[in-house]
Order: sequence, then structure tokens, then C-alpha cells
Amino acid sequence: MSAIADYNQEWFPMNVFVSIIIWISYVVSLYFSIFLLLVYFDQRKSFREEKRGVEIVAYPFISILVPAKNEEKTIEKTLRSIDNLDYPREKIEVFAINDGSHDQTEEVIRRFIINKPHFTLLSHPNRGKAASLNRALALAKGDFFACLDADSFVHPQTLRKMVAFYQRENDPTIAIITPAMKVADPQTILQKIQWLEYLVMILFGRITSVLHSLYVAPGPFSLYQTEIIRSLGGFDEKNITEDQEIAYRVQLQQYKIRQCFDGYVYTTAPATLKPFYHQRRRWYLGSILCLHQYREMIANKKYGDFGLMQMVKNTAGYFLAVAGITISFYYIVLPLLRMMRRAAAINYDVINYALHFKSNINVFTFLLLDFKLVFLLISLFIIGFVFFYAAHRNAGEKIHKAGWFPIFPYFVGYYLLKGFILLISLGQFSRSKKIKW
Amino acid sequence: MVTPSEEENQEPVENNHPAKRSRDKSWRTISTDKYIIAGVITALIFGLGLTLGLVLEDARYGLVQQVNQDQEVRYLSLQLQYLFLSTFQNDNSCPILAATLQETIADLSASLNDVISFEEKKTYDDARKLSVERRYLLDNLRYWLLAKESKKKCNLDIVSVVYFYRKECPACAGQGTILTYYKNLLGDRLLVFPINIDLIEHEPMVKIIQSQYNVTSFPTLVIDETIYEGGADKEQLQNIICSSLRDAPQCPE
Repeated sequence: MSAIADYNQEWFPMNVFVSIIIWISYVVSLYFSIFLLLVYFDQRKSFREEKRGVEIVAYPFISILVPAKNEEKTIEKTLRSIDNLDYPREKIEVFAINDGSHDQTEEVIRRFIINKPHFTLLSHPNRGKAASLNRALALAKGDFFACLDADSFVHPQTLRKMVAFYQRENDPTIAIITPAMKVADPQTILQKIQWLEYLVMILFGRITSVLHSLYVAPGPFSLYQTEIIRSLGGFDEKNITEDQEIAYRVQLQQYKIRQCFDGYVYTTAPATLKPFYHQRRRWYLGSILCLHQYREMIANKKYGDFGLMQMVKNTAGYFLAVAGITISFYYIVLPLLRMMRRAAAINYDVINYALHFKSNINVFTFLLLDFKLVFLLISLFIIGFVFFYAAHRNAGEKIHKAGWFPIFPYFVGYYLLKGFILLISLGQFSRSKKIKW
Repeated sequence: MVTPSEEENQEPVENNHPAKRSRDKSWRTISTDKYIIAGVITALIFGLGLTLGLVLEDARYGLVQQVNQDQEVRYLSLQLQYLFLSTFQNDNSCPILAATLQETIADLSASLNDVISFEEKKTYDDARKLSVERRYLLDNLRYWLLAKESKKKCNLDIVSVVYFYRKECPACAGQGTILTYYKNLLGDRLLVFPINIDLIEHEPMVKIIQSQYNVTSFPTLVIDETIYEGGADKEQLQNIICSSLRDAPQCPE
């Protein structure tokens, strides 16, 4: 037996290591996907029958906070979308906060709010988004308040839908109502891929909302109960993703977060890789920090499905990202390098090589596939497609609205790209931890 | 910001204000049934995949066995043709022998390709795999011997290359590619007999042929009894092959 083990001395450990990673990550992803699918099928009927009403018993007073830093290009559109909200003017106040912009943001706001007494401009040297929100929160008179980033636009009916949803639920422990976020006017391939991603996120949001497991209150137009957020101390000014931190804190304090599944908000997604990378790195690093800060909820029964499923799933997500990168390195990068070396040996005369190559694709080649893994992979893809399809129906969009082409990179390369950024964020996190310890 | 420890120390406050109701967690759900069902379904898919994998692996070995059997019959036929030739000193059967030899070896190399990629794909070791590899090694050696003899007896215009390689050998992938390149170019005129030196502990024949040519470094090529240690690059190999072939359209004049 020892002879057999010796035979593969060098590769054996690496192969086994990669195999184990592959198996664990497939099984873990499969388990969570099936779990969410079960919840989805369980809720399908109630999803279909869920009321989409906009009837409001009594209009609560709403404060809307718009923090803006160097947003001269989009701030006016954002403010106009607020102005167009189908909601009584006398029941709304708006704080547009200029957070130390170097451009014309303040001018644009000033011009826009002329003759609009319910709009107020707050201006201060740069303090950060959370501090800006806290300043406005101290002044806000609303029973509820919503934040709207200056790169996002709210649908005229969204506020009504959210308030109507709250009144239907009739539950004072709902601290946050989250919107359904869509990508505004996708143009580039990257934006179109994100369009698909956001639609799927809406469905996942709806499913996790049922489980009381939402863990992000998206920057664009989440609706907060003012009293509750004030009692929790407002936004954490030291956190880089205050919209995640507040959601975790609300969960920790046993308040509810619910999604208003058709309260649409449109947000500008990064058009190119560089801003995409910066945005995602901030998000991922922020979520790692939050997860670390609130780790006591991981697998904690006191927090129901949020602790047992969502927190565990979020933690597993980092493992899966690392695994995905390792696997793709092993199966894509290494073979590619090997192929390059081989091509070099025949002086890159690959055309001659390929022309004379008698391809013998036969049953044997087919049997060479590792069926145990392929089977799992196929199952995962089927579940992925089910969610993808269901997400489009859920959001009332056609699958090819952004064209057919983005679907391919969405399913093939996009998760690797995200995994890669997540890996970098993880590295950054562990470095910062080491320095602190 | 309220930290959990502070929260613990606080006394429960009156319940009529929404902001003070946080302690109540009775609304939390635990979907125990779905956790269990999801586990069962995952296990089912896992098990189904595993079973399918095992069944297909058996089919794979069945196929290897069948290929082996075909090879065996062909080899017997070839051996008999050669024996006949030597016994009756009848050169008329040379063309038949040559045709059978080339055809058989072409088949062998094709199925060898399968076996090699099969071996590369496999992530774990296996006694059955070892026996398949030994089998191919032995097939290669006896065809090589037969090719040598037939070339002498029938004056065949072929060149045979014994190719010593091992897994842990950075240059071997390149050498293999070069050999495949010429194999594709020259077809039946070039006979390549790969010898996997890693099998040395399991197959005594490896030791014998290794000491015969005193092979110590890899890759090593033996072409018409000349030893090329460290292999040969594309140009060198072309010169070697073309100098030993009498008439090859692929070779520059």
C-alpha cells in the first residue's frame, strides 16, 4: 500500500486538498440553496396572494434624509424623485445634506428647494455619511424616516406602498422596511449583470424577509421607525457600511426588518470594473466587520432563523469564496499555464498541431468526466436557474430585458469576480486584525 | 450604541412603547422542518451523484477491459504472423505484417491517449488504475520489440521512439506535445512507445529496459538504439526522424 501512496507523492496532497474543498463547498451551497428553495415553494402561494395595496389609514409624518457628497450630476434627479412621491406634501419633510462637497452639489440643492418649504438644506464640512444622517436624524420630526443616497431614485408609489405595508402588518416592532432595489437604466455589460443580480437579490430579500433574516437595510430608501433607531443610538459613525451595521444591530435587539417586495428604488450601479471593485470591496469589508462585530448571533438559537441560517450562511459565504477561487485556480489557471508551456515546446505551431490532430471523442472521453461532481454541479445550476426565473417573475421583469448576453457572464464568471474581491477584502480584514492584536 | 452586555443589565421597561419592546423574541421562527428536509434532499442528491459516479466508473473500467481484450487478440495475430515469417523465411507476408503492425500500434496509441487523460483526471489512487497502466506499459514494450524485429526482417520504413517519462518531470509535458505533434504529422511512420518510469516498483520490465539504456534523467528518448538524454526539441527531433526515414514527404529535402 505504501508503494501506491509513494507513487503520487507530490500531487497527492494537493489533489486531495482541492477535492475536499470542492466537495464541502458544493454540499454547503447545495444545502443552503435547497433550504431557500423550500422556503420559496412554501411561500409561493402567499407571495402570489400578497396584497399590493396603497391604501393608507392615516398618513404618518415622514422625514427623508438625502446625504450627498460630490453628487452634482445626480442629486437633482434624486430630489425630483422625492418631490414626485405620491404622498401628501404636508406629511413629508426632506433634509438634503451636503457633506463637504467640492463641486456644485450645494448650489444644485439650493436652486432645487426654492419655493419648497418642506425641503431643508443642511451643509457641513465632510463628516461621513453616517454622521450626516445622524445630524439630520436629530432634527427629524417624522414617525418614520427614509434615507436616499444621491445616486438613487425612488418610484412615486414606493413610500405609499411601504407605509401601507407597515399598516397592514400592524406591528410596532418592525424597525426597518427595506425596498426592492433595481439597477437604474443599465447600459454597460457590467451594469446589466448587476441588473440581473439585483433582481435575484429582491427575491432572496423576500424569502429572507419571511424568515425575519434580512441583514442589510439598503442605503436607497429603507424606511426606519424613528423612535426605535433613536433609542438604538442612531447610525454607527465609525462603520464603513452603516446600512449593514444598523440592520445587524436591529436584529441583535430583536426588532423586525421586513421587505416591501414591490417598493421599487432605482440605483446607479457602477458602469466599469474600477468603481465596481471599490464599491464591492467597501461592501464586503463592511460585511466582514459587521459579521465579526455581531458574531455572537452566529448559530445562536435566540435569533431564530437569522442566527441559525442567515448568520451561518453569511459566514459560510467567505469560505465558499475562498474555495471558489482555489478551485478555479486549480482548474483554470494551472491548466492554462500547462497549455502555454506545451505550446512553447512546439514553437507555437499550434495550427499544424490542431490540423493533424485526430480527435477521438468517444464514449471513453464522455466517461472521463467526474460524474459525482458533475451531478452536484448540475443540481446547483438547476436551482440557480429556478431562482433566476422566479426572481424575474417576482419583480415583474422579462428575463431578456437587459439582453440575453449578460446572462452568460452572470452565471459563469461574475461570482468568481465577486469571490476575488471578497478574498481581497478578507485579506485586508485579517491584516487589520493582526495589527490590532 | 447599546452593546449586548448593557442590554442584559437593563431591567425590562414598560411594554407600551414600541421602542422598548425589543426583549420579546417570541416572533422569531426556527424552520426546523425545512432544515431537516433540506438536509435529506442534499443527502439524496449527494447519494445519487455518488452512485451514478460509481456505476459509471465501473463502466469505464469495463471499457478499458474490452480495449485490452481487443489488443490481446490483435497482438496474438501479430505475433503469429511474425512467427510464421521467421519459420518459413517468406518475405511475401512482410506487407501484411507491416500493415497489421502499424494499424495495431495506431490503435494502441489512441487508446493510450484515453488512458493517459483518464489517469490525469483521476484525483485519487487505485489498484485497478495501476493494473491498467501496467498493462499498457507491457503492450507498448512487446509492440516495440516486435516493431524492431519486423523492421529488420522486412526492411520497413518506420521510425520507433521509446519515450521514458515520469509524472514529476517539468519538461515531459513539452516532450509529449512535440512527440504528439510529429505523430499527427507522420501518422503510421512514427511509432511512439511511452514508458512511464513511475511504474518501476510495480513492473520489473521497467527496471530491465531502464538498465538496458541506462536511463537516469527524464525525458529520455531512444530512437534506433541512440539515446537522447533530456529529450529533443522540435528541430532536433525533426532532424533525427527525417534522417532515419528513407522517404517522408513531410521532411524537408
